[in-house]
Amino acid sequence: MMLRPSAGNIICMKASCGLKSSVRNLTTQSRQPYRAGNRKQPGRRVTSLIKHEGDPVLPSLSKVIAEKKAGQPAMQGHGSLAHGTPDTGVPKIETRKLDFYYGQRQALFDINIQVPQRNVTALIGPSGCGKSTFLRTLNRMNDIVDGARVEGSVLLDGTDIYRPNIDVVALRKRVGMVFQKSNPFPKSVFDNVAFGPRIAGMTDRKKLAEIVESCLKRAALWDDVSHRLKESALALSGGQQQRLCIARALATDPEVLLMDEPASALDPASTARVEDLIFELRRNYTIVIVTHNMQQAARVSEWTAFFFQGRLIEMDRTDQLFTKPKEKETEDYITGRFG
Amino acid sequence: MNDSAFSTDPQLAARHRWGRMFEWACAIATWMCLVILAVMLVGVVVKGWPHLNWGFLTNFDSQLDPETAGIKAGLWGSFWLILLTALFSIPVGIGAAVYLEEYAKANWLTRLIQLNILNLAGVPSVVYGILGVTVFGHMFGVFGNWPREAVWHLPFGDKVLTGALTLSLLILPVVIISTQEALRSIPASLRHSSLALGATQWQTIRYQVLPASLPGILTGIILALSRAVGESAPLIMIGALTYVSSTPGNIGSISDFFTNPHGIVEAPFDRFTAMPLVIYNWASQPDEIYESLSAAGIVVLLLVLLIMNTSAVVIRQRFQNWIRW
Repeated sequence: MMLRPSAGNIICMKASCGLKSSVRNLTTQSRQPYRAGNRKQPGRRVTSLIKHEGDPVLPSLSKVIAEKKAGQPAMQGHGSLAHGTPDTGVPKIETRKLDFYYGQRQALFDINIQVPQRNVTALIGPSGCGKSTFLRTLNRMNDIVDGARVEGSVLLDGTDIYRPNIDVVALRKRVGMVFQKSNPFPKSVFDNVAFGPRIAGMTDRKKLAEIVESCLKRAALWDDVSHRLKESALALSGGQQQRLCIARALATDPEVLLMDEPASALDPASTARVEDLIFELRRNYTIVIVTHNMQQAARVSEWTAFFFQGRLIEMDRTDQLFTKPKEKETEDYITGRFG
Repeated sequence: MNDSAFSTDPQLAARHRWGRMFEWACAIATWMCLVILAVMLVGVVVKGWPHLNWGFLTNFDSQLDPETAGIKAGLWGSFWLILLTALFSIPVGIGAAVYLEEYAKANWLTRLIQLNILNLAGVPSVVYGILGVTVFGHMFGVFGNWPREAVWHLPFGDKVLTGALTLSLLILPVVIISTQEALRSIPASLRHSSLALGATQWQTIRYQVLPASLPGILTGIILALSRAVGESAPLIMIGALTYVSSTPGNIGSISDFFTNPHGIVEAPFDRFTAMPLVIYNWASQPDEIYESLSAAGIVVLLLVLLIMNTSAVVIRQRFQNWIRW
């Protein structure tokens, strides 16, 4: 395990707890002076400064680094060992020489990545860079696509999930997924969450009710829907629907959660709640999240991987990657020169 | 009307005139359909009025006393035809549509099958009649030349089962196509999220895709069946146009289902006629009273169709309140 209990981590958790009360920088899009005494969002200020059109980016970056060091001294010492092979401890997921093809077109080139356990790993990169494709190789959702082909290996706890005798149904139970557009089933709220356990063969009503309640609580949705479990899930608001989809994914008791731009279709307030949730879930689940939004990556993730043109350019601790990128492409992207 | 200072366009009035003319043309087209339909309906009801009573539904056709002739044989014949047609065409049609939409890979063979189904939907019904008489009536002649030289009479020939199988063939393309449309209207995200939760493909289809597309599927099936109710050409081809004074399986009322359960088994293998055939039979008679009889028959047939189509609408509405995307 990478995350040793350290002062920095504790601060991070506190930060996540305090988030609900504080309106995100995302919503305000304006630069406010950094308050050194604001312990509730030490890591968050940093990234909101990074990508604003017309910002004098690099000067502010150095300032950001200095501030972050002052605010979170314990975060130091978790640096990467070398480019491409950061020290992630024992990885939950590891890919080796992963190539992916849609028919003749190659979409992923030689991806070697280690996803640390019980952490949030963000995948960033411009549109069409392969980050969503990569995410879908991790629970073999690409199998559905006609003409899709995978070479290399994806190891989940050391087992290659592309081995011939791997059952994708069992794999997807361990590796859950939340999609970009919230897509609840056209059934009741209860039936949505209970679907996973039910298809796995659970019929005990009492147990199902317990699972539904605990999953809705973990998805921070219980207070909103506890009195309307029998109502159609499609009557919920967009943000509630997305949290319902997360609750539904939790109900199969997965080890890994893949999230494909889970907040991209949501308004800022709902985004904030979903991000809080992701930050909370990190304690029990290994989370891989694709995002277009670098501020979001910085807010929710400990690790960030930058994809560009089907290649993994760089993976590092999030604060490292955003403040001291090792590659030119990464720096160009996070400073807004393209993408 | 136009303030010349406000608009300098000399064509403006003409453009507005064209717009109004087009609107009128569309309105006339709509009302013409309605008026013609109304005239026909009123004409048929008026003509058939003397015979539109309960006895018309419960009496058999009668050559001796046309005054008391009824459509009972045709009504029950059509009932059994539709029941059996639904029994054959629904599972096969839905099965084929699910296979084509959910399982089959998009290759040349699938496209060929798809193209064939589309073409079959446009084949005239009389052709299905010939097919039905060859395949189900004669059984390709493998059991001897039907009916005279047949060594062993199969329970097919010109019986209800042959008619139902023929009508099933007739509406199968329509059922498959409408079911495919219903399945296609289900967003891929529904299937993906189900699969991502560890559901097998069967579970995804059974618990997500089929329930969500059920209203569309049912609507398509009911509309296809109401087409089958009105078909006469294929039934003429298989030889059902006969004067029949019995109902299939001798079941002539709802209580007969309980008092004569044996008839339920016999009905598919019994001789039959159907509503469109009875109407056709009456319409070809010279006497004036038969004109009135056929008008009454048409009213009954239209009522049956109306009930079926209304139920399709009701089913669609009922489900749509719950399923929204």
